Amino acid sequence: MIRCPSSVRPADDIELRRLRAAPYFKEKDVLDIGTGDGRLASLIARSARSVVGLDPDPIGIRDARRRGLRNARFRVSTAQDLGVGRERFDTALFSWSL
Amino acid sequence: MVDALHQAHRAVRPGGTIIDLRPDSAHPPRVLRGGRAVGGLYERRDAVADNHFSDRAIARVVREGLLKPIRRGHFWYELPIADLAELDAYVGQSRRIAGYTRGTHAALAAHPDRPIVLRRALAYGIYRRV
Repeated sequence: MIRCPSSVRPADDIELRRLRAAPYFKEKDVLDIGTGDGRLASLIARSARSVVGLDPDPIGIRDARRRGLRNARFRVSTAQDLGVGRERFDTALFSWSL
Repeated sequence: MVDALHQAHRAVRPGGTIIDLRPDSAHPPRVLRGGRAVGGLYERRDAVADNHFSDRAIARVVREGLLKPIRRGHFWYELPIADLAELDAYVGQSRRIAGYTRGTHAALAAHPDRPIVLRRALAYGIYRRV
């Protein structure tokens, strides 16, 4: 059912499977730029060491935090100003955000 | 967009990976009814232009020697739609989709009992952070 921007995206992990990107996430520190409501971040967090999800939409970030992921943090931030300070990552994913 | 890529480059460790995943303007959405393609949707000019800007930004950062392409391509995914009204609502409020291609809406309306599926393409690029 189409209801909101996130729901016009693939409903399951088809993106990650088709990307064949598992090696880029497994046991990695991942930055998810344009995380939205954390849909992809929640899938990535299953195998990643840590995930930081960024999105300019505070409502999306609120919903992402409600997922209660143990190894994921979410912040309101833009792609132009990530605001991650000195933190470094193994993988950065632009999720529909470039 | 170049700024965003430069920021990501700074945030990723050398040898790490940057992945770009977004709707593929080169392959516009298609609409199927009862398993048959009956038409498609077309994207707003600004959405298509944004995609070109993103492509150019990536190309520039690759030229700068900051990223090295590993793999690029696209894939399709399918979304089941409840009915034509739901698809109309989506098209009406989408920031990316401008409307139906010629004849698509009439073809959908002609067979209201058959299931609608929207096929969309995503483009991806996987790059090594140099």
